[in-house]
Amino acid sequence: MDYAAFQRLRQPVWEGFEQALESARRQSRPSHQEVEALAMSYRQVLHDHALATSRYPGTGAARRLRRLAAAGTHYLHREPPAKSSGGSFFLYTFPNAVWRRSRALGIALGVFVLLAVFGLAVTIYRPGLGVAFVGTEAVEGMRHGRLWTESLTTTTPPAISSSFIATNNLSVALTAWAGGALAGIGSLFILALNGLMLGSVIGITLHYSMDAALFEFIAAHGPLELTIIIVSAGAGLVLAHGLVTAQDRPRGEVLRESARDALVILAGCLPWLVLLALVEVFVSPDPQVPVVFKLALGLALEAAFLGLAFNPLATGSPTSTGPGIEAPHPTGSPHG
Amino acid sequence: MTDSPVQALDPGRDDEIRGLDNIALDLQPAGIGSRILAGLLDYLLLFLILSVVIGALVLLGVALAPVVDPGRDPVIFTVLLAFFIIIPFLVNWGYFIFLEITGNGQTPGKKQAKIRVVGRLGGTASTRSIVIRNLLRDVDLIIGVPLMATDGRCRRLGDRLAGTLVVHEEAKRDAMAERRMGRMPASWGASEVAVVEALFERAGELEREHVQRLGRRLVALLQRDAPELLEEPARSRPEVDPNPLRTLRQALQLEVVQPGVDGSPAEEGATGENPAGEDRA
Repeated sequence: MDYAAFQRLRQPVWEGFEQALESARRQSRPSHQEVEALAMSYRQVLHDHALATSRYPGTGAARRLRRLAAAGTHYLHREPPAKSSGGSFFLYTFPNAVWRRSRALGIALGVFVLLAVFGLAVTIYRPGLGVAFVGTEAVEGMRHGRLWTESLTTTTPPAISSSFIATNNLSVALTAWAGGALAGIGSLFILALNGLMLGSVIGITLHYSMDAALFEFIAAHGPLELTIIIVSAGAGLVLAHGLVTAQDRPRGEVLRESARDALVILAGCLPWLVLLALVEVFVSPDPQVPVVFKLALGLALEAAFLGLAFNPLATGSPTSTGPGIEAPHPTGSPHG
Repeated sequence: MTDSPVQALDPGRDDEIRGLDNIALDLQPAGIGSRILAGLLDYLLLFLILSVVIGALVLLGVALAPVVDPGRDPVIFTVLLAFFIIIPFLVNWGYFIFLEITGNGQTPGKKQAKIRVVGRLGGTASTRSIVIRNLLRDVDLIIGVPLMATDGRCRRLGDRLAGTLVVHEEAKRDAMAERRMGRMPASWGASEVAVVEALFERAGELEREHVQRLGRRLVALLQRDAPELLEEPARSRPEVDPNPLRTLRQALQLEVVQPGVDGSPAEEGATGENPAGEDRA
């Protein structure tokens, strides 16, 4: 078949497909018959595209068919949406991802604890490190029995403080997560910095005998806030794992799986930061709230988060899938 | 992406996107220039939106200042102030995610640059993929350009992790003025057809002398390969044909087809184009 005959014979099919595609695009929910008819003519267009690419490259028909094939594929082929939503996400999807990636989360915890202990030890030996972190003004306040945290919650309205704290913590968690894309360096930096800072702050408050006041302030929100920063950074290390080690599997596949799990873990963490911001503003600095209550609230929040994250009843618990040997996720969808 | 049919059929190319029945889609990845242009436009728009939002909040605050007493209406006061922190945060993180989801892979910047985010198989990208690629946008501001420059599909890190691709949206120009050949020499292949189509498509943009010269060369080619398609005097003296484009149109029975009208040929000039510097006798 020469080019002229090819054009003459096949052009009505291309016209029909283009019109059907435009019509389907204009409708929010095209009927089943319309989609089916579109898929049938899409297949013909795709075959014509293959023929034109091989027999008539560079011609107007080949260019037009390439455009139609791309437009049809974009309309008819949709990646499958996330299977879980709302409750099932926190009950199944989130804990499954956490279990699958528990090794990376364990590494994140290890780095954080190591640096926290290091910061504590250094600050006890040389309090200058703690001063560098909290600032001379805060140290001056501690000399007079005042913790620097008071200013944030007493000089600004609670809504401002909670909004600021929530957005700041969300930014830290997102940065720790995205930092994993720099081969894990960003996540490790956030972990190291926060670990070092925690150790130094504990050390400097011990030095000025303000540790009880610090404990009272962080008892309600501190444990979970740190846990979430660690888990978010751990999710960043999951990203890094996909980038750095693909082992014997295609890197693209490993990358997509890593990114999917990392996103699930991050999404499971972020809502808690909003709740924690409210606790940090309304409960933590309030001297009327007993320390015992603050501690109980802090432990309850931590237990609730860990209970959800490591829910052993979730499908696909570590007995069935271990880190790095997870079953492949469903990818792609049938055409049309 | 595919330069020749041999490459398209090469089973060893794992970067080729293949559709139904393993047919190569031949998608055209957007290059660094288009991506940067789209990004600049989007960041400019984002800046404008943030300015407008913050300006509106300031004006709202000023307007409410005489009415709202922080001591008497603490809730309204503090909620308004909290908006100053929360809304810019949401706009900043949500702009690309929201617009790419609702715009079928296109933000306003991408629409202007005529590019679109698609899934790894050329389909509509999932919400999850779009969220992943945009959460990594800040990291890609640092390492995205070198990564795109060294990748065959011009993917930044966010694209690699999300499994997405940014492709050119081809213009409908060819469809708006489709040319159909009624006949052609048996020995002619795709390259000759492409040259004839390109000449008619671009004749309006070229100098008349060049058009005439190219046209005469094609008439000479026609005279060599299929003289029976030509009429006198072009058949005997193609090199002096005063109107080679008209000769070519008549010889090849070239018609301009306007799509959407049952594929039937349109009247000449109905597509709004100048028929190629062609002299009307």
